[in-house]
Amino acid sequence: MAWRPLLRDLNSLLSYPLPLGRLANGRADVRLRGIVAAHFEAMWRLLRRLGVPEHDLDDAVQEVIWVLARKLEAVAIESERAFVLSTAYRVASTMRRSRRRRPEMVELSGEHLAAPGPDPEGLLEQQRARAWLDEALAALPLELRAVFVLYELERLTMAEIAEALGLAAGTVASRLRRARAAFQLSVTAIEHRLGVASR
Amino acid sequence: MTEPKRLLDSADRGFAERLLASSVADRPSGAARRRALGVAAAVASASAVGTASAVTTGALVKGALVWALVGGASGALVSVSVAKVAAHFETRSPRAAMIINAQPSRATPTHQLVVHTDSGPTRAGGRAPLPVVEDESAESGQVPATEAEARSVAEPQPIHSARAAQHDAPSAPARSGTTRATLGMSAHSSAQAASGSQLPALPSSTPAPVPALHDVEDELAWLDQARRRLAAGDAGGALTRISAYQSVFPRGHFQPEALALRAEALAARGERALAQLAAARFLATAPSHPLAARMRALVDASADPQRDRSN
Repeated sequence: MAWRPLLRDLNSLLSYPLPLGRLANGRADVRLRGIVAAHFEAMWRLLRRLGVPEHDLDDAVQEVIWVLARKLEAVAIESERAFVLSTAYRVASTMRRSRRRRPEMVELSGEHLAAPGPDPEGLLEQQRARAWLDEALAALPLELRAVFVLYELERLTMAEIAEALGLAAGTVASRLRRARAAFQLSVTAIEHRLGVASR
Repeated sequence: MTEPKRLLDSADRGFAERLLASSVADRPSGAARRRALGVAAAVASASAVGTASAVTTGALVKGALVWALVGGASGALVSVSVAKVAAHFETRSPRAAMIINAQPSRATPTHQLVVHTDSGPTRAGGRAPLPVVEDESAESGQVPATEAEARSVAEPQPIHSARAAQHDAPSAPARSGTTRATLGMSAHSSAQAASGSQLPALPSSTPAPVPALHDVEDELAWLDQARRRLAAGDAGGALTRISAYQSVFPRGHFQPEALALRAEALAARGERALAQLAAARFLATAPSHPLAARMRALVDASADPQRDRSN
């Protein structure tokens, strides 16, 4: 019968707010920076593909970091990426809704198209492709676009997307289906317009 | 859940796949990354990670209340900043030219200087038991992150990296063609792109001395963001950016302006004691600055809560 008290001890030991908790708190800033370092690129790309204009990207990134910092304690380690991406999605949709005109910023974007490089043609080709991609994506409603981008480009699994966007698995699947169809349509339209042979 | 094959994994290399593939190569610049890390460091140290949730909502309301008041001052800040840039380069960055159109402030009546002896810059490092007022006390305990504090945590990496970023940039024109242009920081990237023709061309292999204009434009962009945040009523967001600026550019051209903006943002958030401290530090370091009158007014207003409310 000696195991009972032992068990209780173990229990109390486990539930005791040991240094572990404090450690986690003390390291919150380290963790935050770690998360940002690890997932910055993915969040940045998602924001872009969700249509956040170039001149708002820094703002959007900072917004995501800000939210992340506030909710850090509630974010499980294994869902950090999902959290970052879902926050980026929310930030993008909020920005989209409340986009204010900023006359002094707007006309400056897009100038990089003329930027020279060692392989200007390749570069230009990439940029063109990206511009078309964004155009094609822009035809998709944001909720479809998010699923599409997360799945096709950021390579999240459908389960991860469901978690990140707070959707049922079936919804993710059907959105992806619809998004693919819409994307194909949209791409075809662009292709048609450009008169580019697809293969 | 059955996972359909991703389009990028299909053997088919159609137009759609090619477009999708173009996104894979779409990467943020090193500078954008460093800025994000700088923000993370600043947020982590300056706003007590995990506990700042109440801050923004309060800030929004308060910010809205004082925004008319603040608008003038931030206009002044930008004007002063631009004047500095102009002084440095006797020239016209298009970005600066645009900002210069920002509304100039109305002259603020000069107020009597009320500075508590204990709020000078010498004490900046300490987390002073400030006479924090009313319901903001809980928050101001966390936010206090006076610049010195924020800096002590954030400084080590961003500084080098920020400089390094600017060294990187010219030496890799290939990448900078795409990635620099896709920087989030619009002012930075766009101004550079726009003024590219006016800058002396750097040899691509030499890590030559960086034209200081990069710094200045970058700095200006940071502060401009903070200013816009504040003008939009988001004092919390403004403070984050100011902290980031102060840690990334500890010897920046616009440290006084950043401090002034911080004071404004703190005041907007209702943290009068901290605002007063920042304003006092400003006055101690730059007593004859064009914004000094404004800061004196802030110190006065902070000293008198009734007056502040009536504004």
